[in-house]
Amino acid sequence: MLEHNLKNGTLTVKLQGEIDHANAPSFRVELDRLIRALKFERFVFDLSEIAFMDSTAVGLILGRYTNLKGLHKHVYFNEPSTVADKVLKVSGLYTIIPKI
Amino acid sequence: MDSMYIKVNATPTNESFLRGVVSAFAARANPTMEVISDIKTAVSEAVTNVIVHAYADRDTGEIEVRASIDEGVLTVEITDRGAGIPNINEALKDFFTTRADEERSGLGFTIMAGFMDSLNVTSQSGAGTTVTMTKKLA
Repeated sequence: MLEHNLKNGTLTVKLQGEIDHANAPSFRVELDRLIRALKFERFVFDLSEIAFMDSTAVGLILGRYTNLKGLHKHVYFNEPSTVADKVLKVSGLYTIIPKI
Repeated sequence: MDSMYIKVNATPTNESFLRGVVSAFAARANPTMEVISDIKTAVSEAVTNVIVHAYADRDTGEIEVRASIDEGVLTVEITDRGAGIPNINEALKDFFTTRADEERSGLGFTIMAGFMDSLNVTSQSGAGTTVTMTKKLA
């Protein structure tokens, strides 16, 4: 449900499948583990393979964003799926995390 | 009028189950994929609220979901017998949450209102909450 790729200082994490209140904790643990373990300058949330997400995922993304900003990293979205895109738009997340 | 009723325990596992049930029920009116997706998201928000807030202070509780389709319009009603919302106007505000420490975004009702055609919330402190939403299917 999560793949990562580190290249030229950019850590891209692809979140896959469904994110809701039931499984958000496991996404959180894995994301935080990667953020702690790897050396990078830019962090990209790849949401291209998200089949479902709700406001719990918004909280998850915002929490990681706050931590990443504290570490002085740049944060971006990459190719959100149609369903992810709508939640990101309604929640206003694009105003703080740009798409690349 | 086509209708359904289901009552399940308020557990995280039932979030995906209930959004699946309601969207499968709505699918019989042949809505677009986008409409189905909107319904899934809104139901998931309402059910998550029940688990995170309504029954936060107890181990068990039940969620009742009623849905009907009348003249191409889906009405879905999600009821709990939990804590209730002391101040609905405050709860409906964007980013309002009582659980910021758990990384709750405070956008549940914002998304329900944005993804459905109508949203109505009735609640009584200590007695429970009912969220009613409608969505045009065709």
